[in-house]
Amino acid sequence: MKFFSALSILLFSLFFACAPDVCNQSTTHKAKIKFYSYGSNPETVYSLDTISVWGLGETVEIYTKKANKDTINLPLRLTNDSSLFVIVSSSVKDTLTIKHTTAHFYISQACGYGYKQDITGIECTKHIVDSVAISNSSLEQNVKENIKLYY
Amino acid sequence: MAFASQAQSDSTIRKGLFRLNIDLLSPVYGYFSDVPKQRMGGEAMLEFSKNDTLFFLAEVGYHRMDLTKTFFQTVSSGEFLRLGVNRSLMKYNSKRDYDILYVGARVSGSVYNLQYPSFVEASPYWGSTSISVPSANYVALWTEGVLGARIETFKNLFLGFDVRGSLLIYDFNRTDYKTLFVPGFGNPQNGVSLWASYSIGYKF
Repeated sequence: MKFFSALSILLFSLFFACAPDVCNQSTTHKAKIKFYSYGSNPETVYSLDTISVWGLGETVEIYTKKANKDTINLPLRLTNDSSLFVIVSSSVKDTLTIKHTTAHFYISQACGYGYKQDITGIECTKHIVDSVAISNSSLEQNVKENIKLYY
Repeated sequence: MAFASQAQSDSTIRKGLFRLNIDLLSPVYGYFSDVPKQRMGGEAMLEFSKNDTLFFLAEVGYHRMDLTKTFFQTVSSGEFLRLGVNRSLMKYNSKRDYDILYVGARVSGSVYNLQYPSFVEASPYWGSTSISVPSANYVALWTEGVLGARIETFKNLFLGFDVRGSLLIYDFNRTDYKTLFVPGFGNPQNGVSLWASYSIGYKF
C-alpha cells in the first residue's frame, strides 16, 4: 500500500511538472535584395551612397538614409499577394513590386504558426534602377539572396 | 497480495465484479488551470470481470481544451470512447482481496470539434490583421497501453491510478490549422502521448 501511495504522489507531481513555452524561432523571413552594377562581367556588387526604403502607403521607413548599403532586407505582407516598396537613392525614387504567395505552417505551441513565402513575380520602375531579377524565390533563413537589383 | 506465480486456490476464487470508476484528475486539473479555464472535462469507466483476471471495460468522457497563445486561440472539444481489457498481475490472498496491479490495452476514438476563434496575421512592419477560421468536426483514432493499480480503501470503494502511453493511428484533420489537442488523447503533433489518471471507483 505504501509503495502504491508513494508512486501515486510521484506520478501526480510529474504530471504537473510541465516545461514552459518558449519560442526561440523566427516565424517570418524577409526578402533579401542585393544591388549589382548593370553590365558588369563578372557581376559586381554595387553599394549605394545613401538609401531610404518604405512600404508604399506606410509612413514608417524601413531604412532611413543608410550609407554604403549593398543589401536590404524587406518584410513582405502576410495578407496580400503583393508588397510594394519605395526605394530612394540619390534623391531618385523607384517603386519595387514583389508578388508572392503566403502559406501558414505550424511550428510549435510556443511559436504558433510561421509563414512560408515564395516570390512569384517582380517589377520595378526604371528611374535609376536598370533591371531586376529573381535569384531565389523562397524566403528562408539560409538563403543569402532573393532578388538582384541592377543599377 | 502477491504476484501470480501459482494457481489460485479454491478459497480465493471469486464470482467476478462490476465496477464504476470516475476520473478525478481532469476536474482537478481543470480547476487549477489558467483563467479562463484552459482545460475542462471528465471521464467515467465501466469495468466487468467474470474471473478477476481479465477485466473488460469501456471508458467514456468529454474534454475541452482552450489554448490561447500570442497570435492565435484554438479550442478543441468533444467526446471520446475507449474499449479494452486489463489483465491482473496479482495473485489474490483471500476472497476479500480486491487490490489489483494490472496492464491493459485500449482501442480509442474521438469525434471532436476544432475552432480557431482568433488567428492573428502579425507582421512587425505591415501591422496585424485578425481572422477567424470556421470550426469543423474531425475524427481521431488511437491505441493505448496502460499500467495501473486499484486499491480498496474502504469497503467496495477503490482509489486507482494509471499511466498510459498512446499511439495515434489516424487523425482526420489535414487542414493548414493544426489540432493541438484531441479529447482523450492530448497533443497529437508527435503521434504519441503520455498520460496519467486518478480515479475513484465503486464495486457493485
